[in-house]
Amino acid sequence: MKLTLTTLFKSTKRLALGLSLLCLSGVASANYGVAFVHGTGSQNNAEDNYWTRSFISSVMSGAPNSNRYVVVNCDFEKNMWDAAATGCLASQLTQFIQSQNISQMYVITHSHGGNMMRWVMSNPTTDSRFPNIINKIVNVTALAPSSGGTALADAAIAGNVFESAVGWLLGYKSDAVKQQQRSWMSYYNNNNLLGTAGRPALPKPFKSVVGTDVESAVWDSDSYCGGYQNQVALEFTQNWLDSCSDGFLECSSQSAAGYVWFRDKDRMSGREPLSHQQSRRQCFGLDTQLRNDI
Amino acid sequence: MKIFTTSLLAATLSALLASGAAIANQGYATYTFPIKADTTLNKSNKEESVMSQSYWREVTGAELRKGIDLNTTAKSALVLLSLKGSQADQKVIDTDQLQLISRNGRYVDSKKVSQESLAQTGLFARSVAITAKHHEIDNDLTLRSNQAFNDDDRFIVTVKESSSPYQLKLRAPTQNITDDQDVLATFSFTEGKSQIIDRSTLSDPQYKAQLVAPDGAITDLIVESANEQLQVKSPALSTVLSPVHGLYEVQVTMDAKVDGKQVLRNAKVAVAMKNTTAQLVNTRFETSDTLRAIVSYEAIVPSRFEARAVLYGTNHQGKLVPVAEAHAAHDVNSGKQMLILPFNEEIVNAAGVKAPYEVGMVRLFDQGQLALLDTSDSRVSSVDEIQNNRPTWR
Repeated sequence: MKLTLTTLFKSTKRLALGLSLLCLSGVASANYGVAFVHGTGSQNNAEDNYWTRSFISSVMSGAPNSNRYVVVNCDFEKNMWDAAATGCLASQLTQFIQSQNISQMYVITHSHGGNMMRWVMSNPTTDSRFPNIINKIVNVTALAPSSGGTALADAAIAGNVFESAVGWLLGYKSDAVKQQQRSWMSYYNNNNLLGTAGRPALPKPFKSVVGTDVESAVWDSDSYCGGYQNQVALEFTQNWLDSCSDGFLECSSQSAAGYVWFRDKDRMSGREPLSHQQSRRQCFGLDTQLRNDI
Repeated sequence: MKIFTTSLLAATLSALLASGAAIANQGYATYTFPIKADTTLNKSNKEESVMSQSYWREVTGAELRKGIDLNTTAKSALVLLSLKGSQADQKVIDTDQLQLISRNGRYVDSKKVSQESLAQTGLFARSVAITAKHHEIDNDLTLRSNQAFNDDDRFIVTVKESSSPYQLKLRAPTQNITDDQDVLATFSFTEGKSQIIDRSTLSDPQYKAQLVAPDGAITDLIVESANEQLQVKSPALSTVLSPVHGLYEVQVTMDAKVDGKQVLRNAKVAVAMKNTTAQLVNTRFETSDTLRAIVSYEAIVPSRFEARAVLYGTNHQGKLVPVAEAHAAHDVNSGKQMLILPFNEEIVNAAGVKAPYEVGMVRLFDQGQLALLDTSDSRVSSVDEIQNNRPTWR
């Protein structure tokens, strides 16, 4: 009986040790992945066309496994709830989580991509895939998110450009542009999306990087990061907005949801501002900030 | 029978919830997440207001070749010119052919952004921009193009005057329009942000209000005077497109002379309309085993309905603070229905709150329409029950 008890005790110890090792191996095999979520537009190769490989490669060099990432390619011209928008986003994130056994996911979004992720995190009962995605997220870093919309979208949609008989007549055929009008985003923020003032916080951290200015001097090499022509256009459109903007979004819009991680000049080399184009490029050390954070 | 069914469903859900904060399957889905104690939660019927220092109007190719008066009221106006035509139309607006001309007929040195450059923003296609290079330039500007446009080509000119004192203020008392709502919006013409201009001092003022549906259909709206402001009356619509199709826009145009100067302004505000497919009946709060709200409602048609509610707990100072929000949704047929919203125990414990608890901010959504159907701002404790004999939203 004594022997039996001793054996049982030893067996229990072994079992406990085994379970501990199993748990430890579970921790060790915890897979940390990164997802890149693009902004307005329909993408089929966002890695090259939206983010650039050099930007992604630089960011991922800070991850435990630099190959464990997914670049989402969806149709973000559609309404946020459309199967081609957040439906597609959920499919690709779920596929990434399952195929790579991701246990913790760091998400990087740009512009309207931030609204897409907020839709997923704010409406977990609308799609059975959403809760699992939310549970895997450790953080969403939103680069220049259009959380409060933009006056440029108001201008782009001015003049009844959608006519029922013939469809879109002006500008991009895009529900996304419509949705990013300021009073439209106000409606969505108050009814469908979480994380803005007066609303419950999002289930997971949502931190923004805010672009505050645009520089487009011909003699300034910094103006060429991300493409000089883009800077010229954004410097003009900046005049449509408040004094603090990245040429596309006012600082107040970029700061409307979650919390501000940093404003460009506080962390970029040479206190350079990040225009809306530059906040998804390897400009002024943005990639280094992200690399260190993941 | 109803009580038995509720208890059975509650017990089943409790067992399922023991494993985590979320349950999701093809039918019944719930989710609970924490709310910071210092969060001040808005009601869903929050007002929305916009201040406009801009206008847009349609012009033809013939008018553009002749030159159009931009009716600017201040220096440094920004001008967008957009081609309005079918998507198949390959015309390009040539900025080299575009000119700003001053009151005395001189060409004004301008900054221009080409169609190709402006498209890089991702928002504008077939649009160009122009503004005076030196902002001390006189404000009476004419826009002209020497390009060989057809007489009947159509364009939208949008002018933004950031330094103009004249603003059109448009306010929607709520963005969720109710069936019995009489006034959709109010508007006023202001100098600066708040000084309402007395309409009797305006020469030949003209106002127009329209409702633009998600499919582009336009309904003219009645405008009536109401003291200093103008009211836009709600229309009688035969069909309503719910938010899943997009939002409606109330668009207001104002054209008046101020001190002999023509002032044009447009403003727009988005609102949502929906079909009443369900309404809240009551909410009960059970605290016996786990904390859960039981929301009963009446569904008029089959759909996927969702209830949301906020749990409040008592903090160390004895004050009720928000703790968590729970969502629950299911697909149902018409008739009496209920949704059980479980508040995850771990979240409640982590918040460091204790009894008494309350549940409030109950909202009922139709996910098929993407519409908020009904709300209740009343709070219910474990011994109470919210009765929604007269829903807030219908």
